[in-house]
Amino acid sequence: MAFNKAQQLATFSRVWYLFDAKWQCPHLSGEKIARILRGEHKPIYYPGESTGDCVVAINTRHVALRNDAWRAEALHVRREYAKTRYDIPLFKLHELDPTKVLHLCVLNCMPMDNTRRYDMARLYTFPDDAVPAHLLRNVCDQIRGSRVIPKRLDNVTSDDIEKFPQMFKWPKELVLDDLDRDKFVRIVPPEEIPKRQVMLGQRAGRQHYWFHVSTSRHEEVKIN
Amino acid sequence: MVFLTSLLRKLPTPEWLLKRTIPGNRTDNKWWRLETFRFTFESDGRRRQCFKVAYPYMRNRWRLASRSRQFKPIFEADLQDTRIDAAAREHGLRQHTLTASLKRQNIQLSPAILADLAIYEPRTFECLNLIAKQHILNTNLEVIDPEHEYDEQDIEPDPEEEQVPIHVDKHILNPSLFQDVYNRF
Repeated sequence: MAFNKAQQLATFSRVWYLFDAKWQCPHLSGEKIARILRGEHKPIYYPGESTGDCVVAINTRHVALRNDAWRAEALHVRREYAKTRYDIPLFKLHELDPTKVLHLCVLNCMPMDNTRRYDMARLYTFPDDAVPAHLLRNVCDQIRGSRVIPKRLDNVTSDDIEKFPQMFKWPKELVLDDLDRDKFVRIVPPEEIPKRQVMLGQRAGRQHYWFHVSTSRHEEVKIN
Repeated sequence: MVFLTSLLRKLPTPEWLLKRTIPGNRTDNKWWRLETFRFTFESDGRRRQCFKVAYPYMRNRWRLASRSRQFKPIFEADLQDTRIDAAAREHGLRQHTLTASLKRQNIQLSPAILADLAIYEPRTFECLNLIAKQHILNTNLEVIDPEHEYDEQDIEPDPEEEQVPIHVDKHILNPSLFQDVYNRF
């Protein structure tokens, strides 16, 4: 009795993966996802044939860029139509479409090929946990992100605090109430933040804004 | 004499056919055109009928064929490397590491053979990976992570980013740990 048919179906079927983009670097995850979409994780890969798998990416709103990138890096759109020259900083792009940053990072890692658009069409991105049921039904495996999600100190349970091993005990006078954030941290209201009197740096060149700027607020808009 | 092209390129018309023609010899291009239509019989439409369409098509096709012939082994080598890399990652190694380890052990399997094994003989390929892992354990072989091969020396490795580990255990031949691969992609 030959089991080859089942093995063949298992080899050539298209698998759906889930990717949790929370606090992950979009460039590194873009490389991973592009690899999966292209099919380079399979030994039966061939560049002309679209052997890739589908990926459903969730929590793209909480993707994490490094350093100054939200403010300093921009999406540059140039098209041959009039008034379509945009330099959109990534924080603004993220506000307009939280999915776009990860999508662009994946697109960047896909080689320019005839199958590029078809492989990108196999990527489904969602800003939060909400995924349509008909897509979630197909998902059967998860891709690990390249970053380990750290534990936040304000999410630590009292159980963990008690169980955490202590090498010695501090004398009681030196112990303040630990992990009580309100005693040490004060959220500064916006009135107390010092305002800059003089507009430094270069004013934005003649640019066509993607959001409406009323004339009175021009002094406050700073786009480099 | 298969290729008479250079000889028959311009066949002069015989004298008894010349008679009242414009001064100068009129040449008969029938042979020349037949020689090119020999290679365009597979194509459709005007490429099969009209010489002026067929000739540049044939010329370009031969040019591309010559170029592809030189490019084919390079493309095949790249494809084999990708396939071996994909299959080796399922066992926790990379193609770079696997190849280096097998080479050190004097197992001279070419990438073509390894790629075919990876597709059609998965268990053999798994055993080869285990051999490679055991050798790495035995000799503490250090293979540079191929992604960071061209990095400059002063860039510090980011502790938050996990490097793809070569997943090796002490009990490497323990069958219960065969499937334990941490980072499949």
